[in-house]
Amino acid sequence: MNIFYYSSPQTFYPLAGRLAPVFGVIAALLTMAGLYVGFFVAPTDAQQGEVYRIIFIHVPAAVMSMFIYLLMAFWSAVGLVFGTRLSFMMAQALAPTGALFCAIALWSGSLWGRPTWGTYWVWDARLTSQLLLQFLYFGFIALTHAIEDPRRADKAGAIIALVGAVNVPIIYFSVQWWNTLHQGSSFMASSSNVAPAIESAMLLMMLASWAYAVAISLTRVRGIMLQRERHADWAMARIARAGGET
Amino acid sequence: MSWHSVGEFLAMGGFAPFVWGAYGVTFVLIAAEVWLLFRQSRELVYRLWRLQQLEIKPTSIKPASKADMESSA
Repeated sequence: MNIFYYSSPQTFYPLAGRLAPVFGVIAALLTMAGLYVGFFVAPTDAQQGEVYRIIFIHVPAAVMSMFIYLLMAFWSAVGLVFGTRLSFMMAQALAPTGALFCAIALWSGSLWGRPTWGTYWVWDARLTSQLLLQFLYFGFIALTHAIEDPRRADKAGAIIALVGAVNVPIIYFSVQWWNTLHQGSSFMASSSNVAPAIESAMLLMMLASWAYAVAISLTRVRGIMLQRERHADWAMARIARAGGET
Repeated sequence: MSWHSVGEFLAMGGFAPFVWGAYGVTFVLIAAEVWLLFRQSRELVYRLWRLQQLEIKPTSIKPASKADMESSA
């Protein structure tokens, strides 16, 4: 099979339409499993008590916010190098979901910080660089929407995505490079003594977030494709058929 | 399992506002994104379809039947 077969909007549009609901169902099932393990199997934390259970949304959301930004940068680079329209569309379809995960990470972290650190917010390296990520998402979305010519919007967005990608390793390594109030990773350490149920719940929620992001961005990219390609034969046929059903 | 009653579960060891505040807002944001996406997709298809109707050459338009009018409403 030609791997470039699905790199054109015409062939990718129906594929995305078939895959999105599958990933949506996977996300829902994994979320239910993750929440069950997180709330009913994972033990109470000896130091923090029950408040640590925020971890099951905080860490997956934070990881996804960084991962999605890197994906956007990747698609932007592919688009700039190969001139593939679909790459830019993928970057733009991912942005709102990345921004959402970033907001969830900031919000849940703030509510976790209050009872454990005594403050909702502190300008330490981890929190500040994560806030910058939020503004990079907003900047990307605002810029790509503000420029009317799609090709110019694609390029401008791609540049923000690529330049902003420098921030992602800064977020990730901030807890090692600087003395931050935010703790380091509890899970990558070789001396990890985290309960297996806590790790399982986090993994399930991480996979759920990933499946959710796939489902949502595939659905969103379909809309972008249809709008951009509305004068192409395949899109006109789709629109005519869908319009007849409304 | 760490809970002996529903009340104890909801109390989250005294951290209810923080735990449920984090989960609640997350749920609302995700639900909002899904809802907005579906609504926008539906509206987009309808808008593009209307636009297409306007762009089709007048000669190629066949007179709409009564059934067409009703199904497009």
